[in-house]
Amino acid sequence: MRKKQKISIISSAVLLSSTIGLFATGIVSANDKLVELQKSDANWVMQGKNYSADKFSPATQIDKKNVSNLKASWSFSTGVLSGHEGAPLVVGDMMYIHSPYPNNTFAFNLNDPGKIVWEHKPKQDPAARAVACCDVVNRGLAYWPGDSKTPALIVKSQLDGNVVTLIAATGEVHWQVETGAIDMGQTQTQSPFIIKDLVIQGSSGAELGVRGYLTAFDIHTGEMVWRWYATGPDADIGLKKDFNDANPHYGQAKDLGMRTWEGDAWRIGGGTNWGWYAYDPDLEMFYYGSGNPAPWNETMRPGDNKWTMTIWGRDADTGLAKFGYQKTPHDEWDFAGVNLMMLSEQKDKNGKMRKLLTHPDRNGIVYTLDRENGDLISANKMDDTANWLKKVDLKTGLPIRDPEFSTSMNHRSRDICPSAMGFHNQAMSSYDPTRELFYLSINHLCMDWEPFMLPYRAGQFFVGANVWSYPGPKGDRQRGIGSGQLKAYNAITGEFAWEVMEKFSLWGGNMVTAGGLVFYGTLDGFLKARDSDTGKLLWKFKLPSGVVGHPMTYTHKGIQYIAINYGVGGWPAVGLVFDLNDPSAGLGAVGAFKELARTTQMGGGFIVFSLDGKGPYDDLSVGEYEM
Amino acid sequence: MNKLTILSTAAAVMLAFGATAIAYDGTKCSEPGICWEAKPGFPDKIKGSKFDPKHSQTELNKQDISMKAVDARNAKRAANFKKTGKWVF
Amino acid sequence: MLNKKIKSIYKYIGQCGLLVVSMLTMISPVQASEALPDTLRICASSDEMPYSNSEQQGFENALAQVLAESMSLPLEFVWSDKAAIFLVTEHLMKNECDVVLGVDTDDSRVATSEPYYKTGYVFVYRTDKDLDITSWKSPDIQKLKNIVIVPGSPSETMLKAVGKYESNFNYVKSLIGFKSIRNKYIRAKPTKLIGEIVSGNGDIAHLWAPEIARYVHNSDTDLQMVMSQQQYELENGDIVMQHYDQSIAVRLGDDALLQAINKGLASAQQKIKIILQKEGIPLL
Repeated sequence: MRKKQKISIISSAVLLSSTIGLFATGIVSANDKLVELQKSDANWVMQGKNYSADKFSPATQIDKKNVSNLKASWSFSTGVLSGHEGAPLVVGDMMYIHSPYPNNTFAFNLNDPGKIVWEHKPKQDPAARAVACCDVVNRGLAYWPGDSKTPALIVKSQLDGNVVTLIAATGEVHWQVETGAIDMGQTQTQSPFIIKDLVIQGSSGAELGVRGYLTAFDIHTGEMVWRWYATGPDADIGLKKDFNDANPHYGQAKDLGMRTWEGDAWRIGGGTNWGWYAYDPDLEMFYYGSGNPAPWNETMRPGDNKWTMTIWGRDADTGLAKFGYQKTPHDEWDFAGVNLMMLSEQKDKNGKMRKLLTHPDRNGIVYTLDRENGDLISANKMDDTANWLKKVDLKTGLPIRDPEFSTSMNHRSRDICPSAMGFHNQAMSSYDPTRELFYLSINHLCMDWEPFMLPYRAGQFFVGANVWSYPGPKGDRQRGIGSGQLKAYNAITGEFAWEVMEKFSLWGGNMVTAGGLVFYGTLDGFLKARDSDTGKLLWKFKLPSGVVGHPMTYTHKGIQYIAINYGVGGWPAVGLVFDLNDPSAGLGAVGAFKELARTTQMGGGFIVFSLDGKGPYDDLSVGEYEM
Repeated sequence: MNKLTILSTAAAVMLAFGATAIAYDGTKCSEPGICWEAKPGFPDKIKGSKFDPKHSQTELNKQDISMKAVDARNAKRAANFKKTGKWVF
Repeated sequence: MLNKKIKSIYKYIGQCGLLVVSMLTMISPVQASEALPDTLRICASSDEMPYSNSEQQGFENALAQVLAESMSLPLEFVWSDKAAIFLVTEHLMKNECDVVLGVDTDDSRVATSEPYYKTGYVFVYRTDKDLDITSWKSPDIQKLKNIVIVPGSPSETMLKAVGKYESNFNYVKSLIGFKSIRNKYIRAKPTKLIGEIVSGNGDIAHLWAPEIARYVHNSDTDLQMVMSQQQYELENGDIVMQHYDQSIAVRLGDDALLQAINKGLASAQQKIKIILQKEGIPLL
């Protein structure tokens, strides 16, 4: 594969021309359909609700005044333990629910969700569990609306690295491909991302030295269309000729993916990309972040380590990059840059309307870029306690580091903020375009860090650092609580409209509605609603288990529902999931969340709320035995 | 006048020394996108140093080999799917 | 025991925060004693057969008995329900007991006695398997499918070196219940490992001889046990040792106790040999 890619900038164009022929009829309608579907309140057709990934619902039935009447309507247990990240999808009458490993999928008809319409329970190599870095999570399903050739599909990833398309009506497998091999440490936890007739799938496993990559498959045939890497020669990374022309100081097409590494280190250099992607159908560009360089021990990889830790803007058809902005050159803290991208249209400080991209990064900075060319608009601390850097120089794009909080061999660095888990991790934060506020689900965590040396062995953990995480200075380190914050952020002014502290990190994310509410789940198992203007707590409900997924909403037969996955797990809860006690186990999470096991236990499912608990079973005859 | 010059060079030397002592701040770019510099006391190339991890070439090659095999299996499946209309994993 | 204890720790440094932390805590100052204690307090696992258990059925329990007699000291087992790899860091270093049996002679965390035996990693397979294997370089190795090893041991390194790691990946994970060893030490019971060979589920095992000698000998099925060569050189020049000297450990600085142990070992030499031979451990 790689040898051929010397010519792949040309050949991928050739490759594509054959698929474009395929697209010509299908492409436009399928994509338009998906864009149409996401506009309706009835649907939640992709993990981020829409291509802008703003999780903003215009639904207003539930508002500040009546939210106190929110009651459970119905629920479903997945029968699976471990962390239930992501959210279900709703398309019309149908709801699709996923689970962590073994990655079961269930389909329901919302008119009678007491009946499973179909289920898909794949058989997988169980060894996948042993190479998953941080619990066996999965971030959910994707939907492709179908065309004249191929029926509508549900697309899922499995921990073993397979991507499977299922016929949405029946659950039958349409195609199934491998995107990696678990004996190389390549797993999948990411939700597939659908653009036009392509399934775009990232990669996981930087903790095992996996060289990050991104693969696109033809939704009709399962054929691979392109693959681009995060490290290596430009031909492997897929750069447009004019790559970073608007910001040459970010670095351009000069094989920086090789030259910023020593020797072969780029081949095991990480930069996996398992986070949440966004897409702009007008610009036909998609956006995502590549993750941390491998190993975590910085001494083992001299150089800027491009293009890990990068915000990418790539062409939707070819995958070629128009811009790439590396946020944390030569990472020393595992600030994996995979977090979500949220798209907004806002006036900048000079009053100029711009297409923007906002990305709350693990490193404690929330970045806003012009998503047409990658210009850096703002880069502010998510919390003033972030100390590894003084600030981001907007002119150069470089972080001005504070050497006191850098890390290196033979040294335990203390009180670094944020921790490796980031001030913001996989949380689906949200954006309310009417208020022009970003609602950030924040982890308030800091850490001690001590590196060690180790040789690379394919398929084995390649971390090279011990980490001890704990609540940051605004929390209670002694008691292990006060590790979360919810903040309303204005990306143009850099100001916070309001902020509140939470007992535990807000791992799952949030959703905001035109009813003036921001909803989110907590690790200790509450679903909460706050006033999106003031942050005031208006409603909460105790769920059976803690939450690491994000809430969603849909309107069915005139009733607005609020729904959320529960099932504690994921990185913050590995101690609870695997019954660990050592504070540095679980890549440092066990110490930080020692209190969590006193509040909740594992057990996954999904629960739906509505005003007064209205729902499909108000008609008592629904689901009853019929003669 | 002479004294003054000596003084100011001393100050300059101290400044330079101070700058290396403060060390890594990631902002000294030799060309766009290449800004990293080694921390004081650490080599800028680890090969042959005490921090040389001595990776095995065989191990380094494995991801490439594995990915080629994955792609070959997928291509076979897709070709069969096109031909028969049935997906065989 | 040494290898379980020490070799795997080196390995785990690369994988497991837990053990490294334990090694750090061990650096905290411990009191060295000049005087000889009035009891021989042995740190022992309550469930780590065939080395030790609370019914004292392990061969290290018998060795301790012999040593105490030879040193003319009353014997006291200080039991731990933790895995034996934690005896040094969690108990010896915390002064809860004074002596650990079966560590590598070059273990720098502790002061070690003169070696009291030397053995190595062995291949174990059913005699009816018709295999000709005397080393990792034997051509028959390439015919094997399921190879029983302990994750983190030198056997795993060898599996990589001979190109069998990937094809054996799922099988090895199955031996530890598909759990990740990064976060937690997981011991595969030696009875289970040998059971794999007896049942024919595993084609061959490569394991630390003391760990399985008893079960190989007691097996109703005819099993071959073949000692590995002393060492292998990897392509990057690193040496993988297959033979290890075994010593008794005390805290650094406990010189009087160490001297007494060395004397005791010397006079009990014959009795020790009998115990090890009865256990079926091939001695080098």
